[in-house]
Formats: sequence, structure tokens, C-alpha cells
Amino acid sequence: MRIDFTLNGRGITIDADPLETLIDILREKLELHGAKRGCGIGECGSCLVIFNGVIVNSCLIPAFRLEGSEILTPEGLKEKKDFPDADMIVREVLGGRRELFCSNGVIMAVKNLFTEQSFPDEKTIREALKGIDCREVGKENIIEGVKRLVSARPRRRQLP
Amino acid sequence: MSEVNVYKPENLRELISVYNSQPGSILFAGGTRVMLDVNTSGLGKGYSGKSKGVLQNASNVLISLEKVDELKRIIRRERYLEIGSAVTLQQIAGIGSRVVPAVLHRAISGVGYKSVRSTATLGGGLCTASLDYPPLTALVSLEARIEIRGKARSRWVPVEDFIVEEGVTQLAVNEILTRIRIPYGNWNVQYFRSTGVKGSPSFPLVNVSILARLSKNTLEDIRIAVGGESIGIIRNRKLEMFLVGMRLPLSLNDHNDFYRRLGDFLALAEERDTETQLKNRYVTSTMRKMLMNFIDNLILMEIVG
Repeated sequence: MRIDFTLNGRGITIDADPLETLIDILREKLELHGAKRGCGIGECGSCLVIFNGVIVNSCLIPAFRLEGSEILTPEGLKEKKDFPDADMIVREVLGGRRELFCSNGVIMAVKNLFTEQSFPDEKTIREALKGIDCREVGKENIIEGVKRLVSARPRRRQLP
Repeated sequence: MSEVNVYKPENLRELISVYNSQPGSILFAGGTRVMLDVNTSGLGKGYSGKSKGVLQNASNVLISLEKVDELKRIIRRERYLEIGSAVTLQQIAGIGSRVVPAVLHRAISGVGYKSVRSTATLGGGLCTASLDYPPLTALVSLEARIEIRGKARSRWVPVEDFIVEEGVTQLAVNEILTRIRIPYGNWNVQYFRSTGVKGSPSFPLVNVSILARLSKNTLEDIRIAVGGESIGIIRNRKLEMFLVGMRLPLSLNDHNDFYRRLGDFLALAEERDTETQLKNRYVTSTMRKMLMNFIDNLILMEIVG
């Protein structure tokens, strides 16, 4: 079937089987390898993308749902410079290790968290990162990194 | 099922009409369950291997619910909250536990991760008919009812009766779950806990949902629902009636009496199926601990999130 949608801000058209997963479309048809194929059951968080403004596992999104949708992948996120940008997340949360299998999943989850809340508390941070499995960096180190980002975020100056 | 046809009806009437004209078609709400089956059978890439799960006996027709607005509404009335069957779990969680009863809010927050809850729907979860689905136990304690629509008629059934057995619902051919209605109650204590691991043979998932109304240390009303794959969903009105009117903390005699009655109630669950007796022994001992802990600490609780 022919599908029109917006990918990282640009309109595109593809041909795909209705049940082909978004992760397969991204990696095999569009050669975008930022989202990784992991468990295939929505557990590991390595295939996270933003779908119509909400964070989803691209392994659970079929092609037929893409019609008219807006998708943001890790590649599209790198171009966005609002706080915290991808470089900042890599530096503070992943200890500078961008090339880990889980890096892009962590970046997507953290970016989405800051889109939803400017100054998330620890409970919210833990909830947002529940589905992220990164053995290299470790869950607690990731959470501490996000807390550093929260404290580093510039607060608006209060008017007297 | 290598070639799949997708229908996208735009309202409930059209949905019912299409569903009736396409026997064996699959309703696709959030699609988390369908996509699990797709991923494990390789159907997504046009692979014509053996289909699994919900796709096993299905036709090659999918009906997407994404454009049916009637199924995506949340309506708050004075006496109840009504949730469309295609509302996602994350949308419900996002409303907050002041509007959504705390037990349901907590049960939903425990389903998968946020990225899964963003696509999974409450109606879809109920229709997969898993007895250990946490929101199911919460909905049973809340005495929720669900609307089932067919071509000619609609009916309301208690959620307690919706799942006949693991994997089987009351839905007749071409009937659709459309709404879940949750009555508000004047509960000042709400308690929900899940323990165990889904699918584990040794430590299966167990859910306990309790609502209580306390006034001046007297238990005015209480509902207790427990659920798990091997024991089903259980509510014991006799046990609830025994507790109603009790002053807290329980006297030693009442405490011992409650412990004995709880033991009798749980023994029934344990013996339900001899093949799963060992598994159920773990389940019932866990439930006993959770329920005793709840009763012992009830006086200290206000609202438990």
C-alpha cells in the first residue's frame, strides 16, 4: 500500500505491506539506523520514536497507521537544538558514549521527558525511563544524569 | 495471511457494518497484541510462515479503530466515569487519580512501559482476556460494567462476567466492546498491588484491589478483588460482609476469625485446579500476606496510591 507521512519534518511517500513494522521501514526502506531493532515486544526501548507527539516502540507500529502521521526519529532529533539537545544528553546521561546500542533509545526517552515537563522530579524521571534497558551505562547512572540535566536547566528569572 | 486488507471505518455505525460483513476479521485498536504476534511470526515482511496468536484463525482483514471517535471518548458524569474502548492506557493515566479511581490508575500505570501504554488501549487489554491483566482486577473491585454492541442490539455486562476463562470473552461473533462505565464510590481508602511476573511458572502475576470506606475507625464498606491467571478473578462477598461494621484495629478474636475465613476463601482458590495447585499455593500465600497486611494497616491509611 502507498503511504504518505511526515518524517523528521519532511513529507515522504513509501510503499509497504500494511503490517510491516515502522522499525523495518525506517531501517530497511529508508536506511535510517538510529532506532535499533531489539526485542520486538516493546520491552527494551531501543526502537523508540515519537509518533504524533507521543513516544512509542516502532516495533509495535504497523505501516497502515503511518498514513498522515508525523514521525520523529533519533536522526531528526539531532537537528533539534532546544534543551536538552542530543549532545548534551550524550554528555551528561551517557557519559559521552554515543555509539552504544541503547544510546538513541535513551536520547529519545529523555528528550520526550523534557518535552512533557520542564523540571521533572525523580519519580517522573524513573517512570519515563522504566522501559529503557542499558547495561553499559546502568539505570541508576542514567537517572543521575537526567537529574543533572534538570538542575542545569536554566530557570526563568522571577519578576520582582 | 500474506496479503492484508485494512478497513478504517470513520464511525461506530460504519464499524459495526464492516465488522459484520467481514467474518473473522481482526479489530485493531492499539494493536500491541496483534503486533506481538506479527513480530513473532514474521508476517510484517510478507513472510508467509505459520501465523500465531490472534492471527492464527483470522481472515486477512484488519479493521482499524483509529478513526472511530465514539470509542476514543472519556466522559465524566456525576455518578460514573465512562471510557471508550479505544482510549489508550496512557491517556487514562494522564487524567490523574483524582478523576480516575486510584486503584485503576495504579493498575494501569503498572502495565508495560509508557511507550507501550501510549498505544495499548483499555478495551484491547480486556479483549485479550488475560485473567492477570491488572486493570481487570481493579475494574472488578469498582464494579465496572462494559457495553457490548452487535448489529441489532447492545447490552451492558458486569466486567466480572466478561471473561469466561483465560483467553475467552463473552463477546459473540461480530460483537464489539464499546465502552467501560466505572461508577464513582465514596471510598476513602483505595489499595492496589501487583506482585510476581507475568507468565512465570513459579511466581505468576497476582493482583489485589481493595476499596474501603472508613468512618470514625469503623469499616462502613469494603470490596476485595483478587486476580491471577491460574485462579481467575475472585470476589468474596461473604468475607466482605464479615468485615463491614468492624471497628479498627480489629480485636484479637476478630483478627483470628478474619484470618480463618480468609484461609477458607483462599483454599477454594487453591483447589480450583489440581494441575496448578502448587502454583496456586504461591499465589494464595501471597494474597494472604497482602490482605492481612492491608487489614492490619488499614487504620493508618488514608488514600493509598
